[in-house]
Amino acid sequence: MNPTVSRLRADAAELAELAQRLKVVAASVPDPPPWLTAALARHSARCTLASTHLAQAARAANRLDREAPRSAVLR
Amino acid sequence: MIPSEHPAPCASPYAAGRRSGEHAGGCEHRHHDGDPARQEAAERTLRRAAAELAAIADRIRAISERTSATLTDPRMARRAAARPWSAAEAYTALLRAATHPRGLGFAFGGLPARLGGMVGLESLGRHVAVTSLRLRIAAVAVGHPELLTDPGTSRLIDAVTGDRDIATGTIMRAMIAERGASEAMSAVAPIAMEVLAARALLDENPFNDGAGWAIATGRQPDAEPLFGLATRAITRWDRGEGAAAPVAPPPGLAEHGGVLSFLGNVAVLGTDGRVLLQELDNGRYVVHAPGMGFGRPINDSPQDFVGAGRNAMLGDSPYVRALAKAIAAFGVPQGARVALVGHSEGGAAVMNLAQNPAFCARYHVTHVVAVGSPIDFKVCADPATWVASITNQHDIVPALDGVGTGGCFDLHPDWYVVDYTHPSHRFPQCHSIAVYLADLRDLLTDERRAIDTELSAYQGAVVRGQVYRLHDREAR
Repeated sequence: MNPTVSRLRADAAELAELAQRLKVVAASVPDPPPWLTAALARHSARCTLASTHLAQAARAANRLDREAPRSAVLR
Repeated sequence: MIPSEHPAPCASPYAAGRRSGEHAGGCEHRHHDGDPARQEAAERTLRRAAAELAAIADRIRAISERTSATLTDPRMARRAAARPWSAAEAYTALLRAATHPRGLGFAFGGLPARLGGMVGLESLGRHVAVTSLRLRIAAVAVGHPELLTDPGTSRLIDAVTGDRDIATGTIMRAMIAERGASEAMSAVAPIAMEVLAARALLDENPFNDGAGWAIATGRQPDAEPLFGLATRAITRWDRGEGAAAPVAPPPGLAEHGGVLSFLGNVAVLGTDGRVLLQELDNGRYVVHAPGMGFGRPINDSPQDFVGAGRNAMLGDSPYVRALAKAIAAFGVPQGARVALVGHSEGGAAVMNLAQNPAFCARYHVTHVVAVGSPIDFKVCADPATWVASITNQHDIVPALDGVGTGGCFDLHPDWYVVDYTHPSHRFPQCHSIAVYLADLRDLLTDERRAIDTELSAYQGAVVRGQVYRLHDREAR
């Protein structure tokens, strides 16, 4: 697979994992202050959305890779 | 990086353990009411969560930089030239990933990140790092509840972490006007690094971003966090091969060993460029290194302002070279056992000696005692060297390397760290060797005994001593 596509997919997966880790951090603090709960929920949601964006970018990059003439890819 | 377990409670009511090593025999200290075990657990939880958030912020930043690098990847550009419509779709998706305000934010590194920072475009990684810093402040507030109950500091924390530049400046000015600079600085001192790092990450100045990231993620900054002045630029005036000339001893030097004697000697020496070497009756040696002198920031002595900055942030300096020459001139034989004792800049300078492989190949550095010194990023060449670091949480100087009371990274689990507090301490008074000496004598009795136990081989009588005056350069 194209290394760019592989990296984008790996980063999308990593961001999804980080979104979960942020939720774990939120759960690890007993009686969290409201600002912390709100901040971590916001960060987690942003990680999830960024993961989606990167997955879409990976698909688009993969399509470009498949459609581009072989000569252009190898150049 | 997750911090290690804090040690068990001990009796001192004044000190607050940031990190204590196994040599401490366990020290946990609080100065306010409440269940110490619960408070310790709460603080440990917050620090661990802060460290985890810093690690997450670091990974998000790396992903952001890879994403923005893909946008300028020449292989992508070659494919794009062949298939413009597919390329437009791919680039649109990448651009959305790299700039969406509810995603990665402004996911560029290098110059674009600096330019983006100047117009207020913020990345997700930065915001996660700031949340980590705010958790560190919350952890410090467990031992310093006044940080959150004091109207000035609590408003300052809200303004800094809420990215309100004008309010931050207004609050700091009001605190200084109402309380005076000394008290205002003392109030903020325990969280100074966290406040500065959060400002550096969120303000529009692109040059202090690196320092903000370094402090937030537990790395040594290569610039100061306020304006972003590079360490090398600040310390470039501290030059010289170092020189040491014997001078007459001042009255009042101790004639036997022990940590109070050593620190008393440092106090007697003052900060005019003098250091003391002593040989004990068992053939061991002690090096005494005082801190920075007040006066001109650049002078002939290595104990000046630029020297202090250099010793805190870099590994070599005229002070270190001059100290090594004094030790050689005193006739310390190869392989001799040596204890290094320093205050402030002197503590950083002796740690620089202890992390010098050539010096440690020549001498056996068994102990280092650093008082009020910024030494968190220094590492002894000999892992067997025992290190004690004693710092007052209201003293800003030990935090100048970027690690203060709020640090959540266990950089030296094997060191004996006494990071203590007392309500009456004010900066800069609390930085003086006289105050540290009095605190070790009267308040930190358990800690002093623990250090003296470790220094038991350095308790004997002094058989020979020599004071040297250090200079940046040899006399022409």
